Amino acid sequence: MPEVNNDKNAKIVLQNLKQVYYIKNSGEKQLEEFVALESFSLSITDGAFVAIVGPSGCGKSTLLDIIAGLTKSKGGSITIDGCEVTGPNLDRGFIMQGYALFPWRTVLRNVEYGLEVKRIPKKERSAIAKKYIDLVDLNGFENRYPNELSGGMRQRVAIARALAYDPKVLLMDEPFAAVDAQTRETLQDELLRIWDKTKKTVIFITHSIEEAVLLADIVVVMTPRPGSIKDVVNIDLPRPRFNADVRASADYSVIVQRIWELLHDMELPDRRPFQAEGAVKSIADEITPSTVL
Amino acid sequence: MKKNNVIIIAKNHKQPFLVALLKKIFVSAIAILIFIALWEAASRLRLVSTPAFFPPASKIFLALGQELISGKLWPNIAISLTRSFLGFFFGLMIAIPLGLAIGWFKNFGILVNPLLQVFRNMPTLALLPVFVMFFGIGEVSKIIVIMWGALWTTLLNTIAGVRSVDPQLIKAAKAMGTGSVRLFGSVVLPASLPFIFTGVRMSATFSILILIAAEMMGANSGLGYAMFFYQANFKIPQMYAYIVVMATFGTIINFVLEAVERRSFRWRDESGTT
Repeated sequence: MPEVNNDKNAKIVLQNLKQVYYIKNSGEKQLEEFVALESFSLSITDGAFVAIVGPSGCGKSTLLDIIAGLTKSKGGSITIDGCEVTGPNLDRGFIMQGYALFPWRTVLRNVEYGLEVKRIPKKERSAIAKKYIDLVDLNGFENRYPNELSGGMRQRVAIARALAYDPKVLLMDEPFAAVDAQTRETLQDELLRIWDKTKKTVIFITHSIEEAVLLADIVVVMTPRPGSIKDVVNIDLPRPRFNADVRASADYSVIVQRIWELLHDMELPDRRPFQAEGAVKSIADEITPSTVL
Repeated sequence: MKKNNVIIIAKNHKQPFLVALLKKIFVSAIAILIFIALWEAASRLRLVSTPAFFPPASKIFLALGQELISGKLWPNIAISLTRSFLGFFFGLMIAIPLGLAIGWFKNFGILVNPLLQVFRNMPTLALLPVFVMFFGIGEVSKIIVIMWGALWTTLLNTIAGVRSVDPQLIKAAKAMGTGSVRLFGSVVLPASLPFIFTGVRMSATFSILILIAAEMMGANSGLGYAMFFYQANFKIPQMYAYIVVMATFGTIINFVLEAVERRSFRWRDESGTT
């Protein structure tokens, strides 16, 4: 388990987060306690791209909802820049799998939404919104409605909407899970480019190990329920990254395989056991292609 | 070659507006015209045992023309439309705010729902004598009974609209720090508008239907009254003429509101082509 460091570099500090649900089983009078998240601690440096992977139902989305301030945790604390998180706020941008665009608003007005909440004057609003529409490559689509756009385009609008009000942190909950494989790759490259430009701190939840490795600086691997951190893997692949380059590199495959094993709880005797305890490790340094082959 | 193709496609696609409209009207009128023709034939051929109750369509339209020229028709239309509009309008004034409140405040909804179910299942016209008792036989009781009959579909649709707002949209708005007042105004209300509007359209139809019945039960003017009067005086073509007028009004109102609905909710259209 990685130590929680309280150093000044940490942008986000998650400490001992716990979430419990109560489920009513049929036939039983007592509510059953269901622990979704248990002693989850992580500290994230400013500008880091953190991906979280884990088996389904491990509480990944619960975790993100807690960080977004949408649900209260049953224990632990979250601080961003030293301030305790108590509810939703414009310092965090939230991007969901289903886009959640307002269908009655045009692209421009969707991107303006957060700016309205922020009470930015109308004139500035559209200028800022246009800037971010430009950033996600949707120039000329300002006056379209979401139902006139493809899935990939809708997700770009959602990204623009979350970026427009300039949050410190982007929270992304399986944002590319609903689009086809090709669009997904395009969006991943786009996100890398945008992240490089905006220098936001990103917490990215995904089912896909490949996606996590491609995008992130750090991949957090979660255990099945109750969800907690199984391991944290540093991804030292060089940046800037693109699908085409990264997928071809041997290091990439090694890391993907390593995380796959972590997720599937496999201990392979012919390999050096992975040191899960203690500090965050860089696997890319430890396991070279030759050790695998 | 390619250029030619493009032009042909464009030509086919861009029909002059008037031609397209006339075509559309013709297509939608075919069934009605055939029905009128069959009516005329059946009446002329005396296929019905009581021909006095079954005048030919041409006689009905003639009677309609006479009513128009003699100036008897317009005052009846005016008073009927006024009644139904006022009843409809007051019905909406109650139904929409109440529906929003019931849909939005869960506990309020749970509290008033049983009462609503009881009220909703009372036959509207059965209440007319009650309203007459309280408000007299004049305009007020008619407007109130129309209001009563018209408000239910809008009320129920508004409740359904508010309750069916996509929770993802609410989540997205909340994640941006949206407070509850803004959430209601900027998410819940626009998301439920299509539902509300469908309810409004149906309420408009109801307000006409109930109007006629209310006028038949006690009035000395209006379309329903005139129809009843002609029936009692055995002027059968005139009676049918008023039925034609009522049907026409109902159709026109529904048509207009449907057109408004389509225009206003372009964002709802899944294909996104119109």
